[in-house]
Amino acid sequence: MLTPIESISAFCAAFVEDGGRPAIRRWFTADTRWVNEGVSVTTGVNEAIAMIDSLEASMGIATVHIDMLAIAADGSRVLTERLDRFELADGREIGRSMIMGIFELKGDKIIEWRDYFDVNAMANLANA
Amino acid sequence: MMKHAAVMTAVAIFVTSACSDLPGTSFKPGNDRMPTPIETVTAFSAAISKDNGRTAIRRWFTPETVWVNEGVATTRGIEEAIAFLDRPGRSPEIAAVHFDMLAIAVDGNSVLTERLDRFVRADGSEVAAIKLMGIFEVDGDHIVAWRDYADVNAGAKIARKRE
Repeated sequence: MLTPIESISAFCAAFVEDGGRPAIRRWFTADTRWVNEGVSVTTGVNEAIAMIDSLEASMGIATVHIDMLAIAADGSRVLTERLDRFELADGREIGRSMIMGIFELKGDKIIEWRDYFDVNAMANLANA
Repeated sequence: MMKHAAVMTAVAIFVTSACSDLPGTSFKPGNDRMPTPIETVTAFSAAISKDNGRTAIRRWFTPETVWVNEGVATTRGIEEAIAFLDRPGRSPEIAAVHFDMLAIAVDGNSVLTERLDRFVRADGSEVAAIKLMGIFEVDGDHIVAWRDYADVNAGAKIARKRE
């Protein structure tokens, strides 16, 4: 069994593939809550992937690179500070955001993921 | 005999100085060890509710501490931080901010937190509460950087409530 930090490091490293869809399928459960504070809440694998689909359709985000700046565990919870970089299908970067997120693990699955960031900067990105 | 006494004196001096140089061998009363980064941030967060945060800022910030509220403001040093706490746009209803720690963990000298920050009136009733995350970089027993990440629109709603 991986440690909580190892699990989240693997999830974030895998997120670069196909907009994060394979990582969601591998680490989420049918009940995983994914909260983007002030923006969205999804439950389960299908809703999470539907949100990724809609972000690709509306903003053209094809790839998300997650650069880990700090990571630490409090029991089965993993706290992160990250730089998330958003790219179009042709590899051009359309935005980047400093983010903090907390992941709650049960076994080797993520059961809750809450991200906190400047939502207005993301809205400006969508309007750019 | 004189030679023996000189050797004993030299040994005594050596032992005394060696003991005083050993880390952790303090004979002073009380516990004067350096707090851990989590202890420093826990103490700062507990103290922030007093005197509109001024006492905590003065005690734990340095003249170079960079405090970032992502998407809102960046301050450097103690006076800019206190000016931000006293900013005119802040709701006059708010008498204190309480940090309820939901999760806290350390990565080297960086302390990562998830918190519920509760904005309360002088009578203790709550104006609003915001869940957020913050990271504190600790150097010795001082905070040298603090970045908070929150839904800034939730903060704006608090400011508008008084209108």
